[in-house]
Amino acid sequence: MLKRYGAPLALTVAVVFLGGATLAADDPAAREQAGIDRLQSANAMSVRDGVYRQVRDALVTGTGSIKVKLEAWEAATQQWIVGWTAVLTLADLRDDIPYATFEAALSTQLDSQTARLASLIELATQLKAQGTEARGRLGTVPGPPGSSYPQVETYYPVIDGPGGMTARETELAATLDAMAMMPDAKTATMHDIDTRARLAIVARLRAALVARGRYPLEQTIAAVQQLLDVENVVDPVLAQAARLENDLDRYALNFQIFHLLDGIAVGRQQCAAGRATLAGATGATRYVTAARARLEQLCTAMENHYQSLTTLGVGNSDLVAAYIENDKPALRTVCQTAAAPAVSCEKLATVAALQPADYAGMDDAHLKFVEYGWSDNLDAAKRKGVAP
Amino acid sequence: MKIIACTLLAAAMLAVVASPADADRCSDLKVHPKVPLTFVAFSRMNPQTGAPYGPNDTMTVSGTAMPALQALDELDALERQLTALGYTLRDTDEKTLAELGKCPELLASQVAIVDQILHDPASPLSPGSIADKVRLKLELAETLIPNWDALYAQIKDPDRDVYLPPVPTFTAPTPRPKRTELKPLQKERSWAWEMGEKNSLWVQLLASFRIDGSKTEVKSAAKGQINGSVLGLWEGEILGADANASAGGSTTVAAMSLNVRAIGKTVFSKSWSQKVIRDGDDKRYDVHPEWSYRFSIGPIPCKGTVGFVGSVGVKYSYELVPIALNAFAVPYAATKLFAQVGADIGVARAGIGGEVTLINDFVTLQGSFAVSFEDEPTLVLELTGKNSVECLSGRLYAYAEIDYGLGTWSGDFTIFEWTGYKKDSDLFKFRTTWGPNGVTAEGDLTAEDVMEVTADNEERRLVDLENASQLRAFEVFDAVARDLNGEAAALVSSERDRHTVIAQSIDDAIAQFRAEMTRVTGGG
Repeated sequence: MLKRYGAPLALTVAVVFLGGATLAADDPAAREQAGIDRLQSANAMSVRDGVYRQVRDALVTGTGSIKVKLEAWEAATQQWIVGWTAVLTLADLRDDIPYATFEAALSTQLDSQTARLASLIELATQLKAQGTEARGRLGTVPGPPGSSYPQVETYYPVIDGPGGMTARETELAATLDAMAMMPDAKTATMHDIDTRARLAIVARLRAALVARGRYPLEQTIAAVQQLLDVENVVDPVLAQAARLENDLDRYALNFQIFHLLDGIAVGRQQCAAGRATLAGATGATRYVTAARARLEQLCTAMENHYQSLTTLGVGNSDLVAAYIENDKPALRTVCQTAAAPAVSCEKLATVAALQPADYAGMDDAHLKFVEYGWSDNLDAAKRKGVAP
Repeated sequence: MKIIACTLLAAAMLAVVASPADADRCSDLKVHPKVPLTFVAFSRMNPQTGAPYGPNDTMTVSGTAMPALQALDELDALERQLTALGYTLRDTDEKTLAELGKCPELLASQVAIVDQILHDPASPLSPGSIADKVRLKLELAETLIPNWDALYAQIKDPDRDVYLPPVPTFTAPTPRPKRTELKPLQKERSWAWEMGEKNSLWVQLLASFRIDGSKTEVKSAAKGQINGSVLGLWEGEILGADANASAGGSTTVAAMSLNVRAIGKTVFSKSWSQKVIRDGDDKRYDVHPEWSYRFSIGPIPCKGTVGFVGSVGVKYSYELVPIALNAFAVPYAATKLFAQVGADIGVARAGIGGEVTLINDFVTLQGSFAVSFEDEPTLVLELTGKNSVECLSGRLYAYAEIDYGLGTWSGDFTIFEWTGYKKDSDLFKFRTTWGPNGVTAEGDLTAEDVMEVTADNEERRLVDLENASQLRAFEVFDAVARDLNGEAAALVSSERDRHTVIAQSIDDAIAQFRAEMTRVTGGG
């Protein structure tokens, strides 16, 4: 009996019909898809831009950038060339000095040249690795064209236009190839120069001895040739041992117990191999004797670094905790205050959040994982350097 | 007359040349006196009339009219000064009466200085120096402007710079956020109720309230109607009340009309039209229709009466201001149906009767519509309806009246009474708001209401998504465009160019060093 009526049916039908017409005019499903596509395009572009900026930063920003390292390599290369000029000048025997003084000066300069070349090659290798990593991070170049990003047609010039993303990526890839790979491409030439320079030393020395007769000709030539031959064998051994001793010293000071354990094993192998190499070296007796003494000194220092940490009576978990605790300020420097933080900062922050109880509960395998995880990422961040 | 005018002008020029101010700049004035001449006054005769000038005659000197005699006196005075120095205004040749004595010497000395400067080979103004400057300019021009052969030779040189204007930087267009338009609201609620049969007793109640509102205008229409039927003898409208109101729109005047009908006849009708309407009243009308008929039972006359009594009306209150309406209307009816049949034998009358409450009904219709403005307009509409009804209750009774000479006795006796139908109920209750934060609707919702809310929420969600995606796309692409056009991006190519040059210089140095070593070692 009691009835309630809504709006008249005709009105309802009219509203539904009008609503249907509106829906047909701008399909909500299509509009929603367009909005989602636009967001996805924006996010994809953001990711692409992030990759571009990371790679560009690796190239030109920060104290550890490819640019800065390349400049260091260029400067060192100039010094290396100038160094050879100095060695050749010494071989001209223009100074009236005793042979022993001449031999000592020649030995020192050759050591320097060897160290410079080793440093140049290491730097070139680092640059190549850094460039390869950056190039890999950049991915396929050029990236997708604007048409791959739906619903952002207005912004296609940002991608495809002059000075757009595609052009910048191509430019960045070419620059990476040019700057990061250039030193490595010259490594063979530098080795060749190194070899030729030693021949040139003997040639110029012979000419100088003929002209000036300052020392006995054949005896001097033989002695210098022996020195050159031995130096070529000895210097790499000493350089390698010196580098490792330096590393072990740093590990001990930083409480990097697992780096130290791994390092001392390598050091003992290198010492044994070095001793064997030097034992087989003939000629340039004074030089070889000094080299043996130096190697023993370095090997003893390695053992001392090892003993200094392992005889402390402190457990590995405490050492790892101390290492990370001491290094935490670097996290702020390289991550928090940097304008363009290194990408590994999140991993570092995770490790930094570990508490003493966490370390105490870890076995050696986990502790080693944490120590290496921290140092590898922090070193990577440090290599990138602080952005200006 | 012309002669006089020219003479005066010449005299004035002489005075200027001899002014002390100018003489100070070079030196004192140098005068050239000659042998004095005899002064002869100028004639006072007017050459045009041949008669002497009178005191009122004038002559024009240098375009200025002045008394002729005064002009001639001044001319004579000047002539007197000149003749004393051996000159006369009558002499047509140009004479040098005086000159600045030192100027020629100064000028002569400056000429000497200039001459010296020009002939000094070391002087910047010497012909040699000027020629050198010109030659240098020509040589510079030759170095800057290559000849055709040089240009042609460099056509295919990839390292040759070709100037291009800077590439215009891309500026991301700022998105314009969409807005959800505030749609007009159209809401109507109706209610109907009936009881009984038309061939006996029947009542019907109809009520409706409609509001059409937008952010610029509002219209409302309220209707209440009570219909009834009595024993098939009568059927019709017991009460009808209509109220219509509007405000806003193209006019700033609010309008309202009220119409009340009772038993099919209009009993009240009024219209208002003014800026703001605030009105309320209770319009009440009594109704008493009845129908009688007579008959006899043998010699006894009888009479019957059927009818109903009651009152109908409407209470109402309206407040109409621009874009806001607040109203209630209560159409009501209180009617009682009666029927009596009686016999009359003169000294006594008796009969039976019945009363039935046909309907006591109050329909309360209340509605409001308002537009509130904060950041954006919000429409609020509310409709409520209530009803209180009582009907078809009644009683059957007998009555008698006797005249016994000394007075009259009368009385009645209720034979039977019964209760009818009584109910208070909510007819409808509805409230909706349409604003920037969405649509809400509560109360008695129709399918249309639900569809409206759902559609609006969907539209808002889509608009929010569209705006958010547009903004996100703008932020991303704008930031990318700025970065790509910034210094850091430009550094990439400039560093490549710089290090390419350095690498080339290193190659050159190595090649030179290698050549030297080859020379020393004799090749190989």
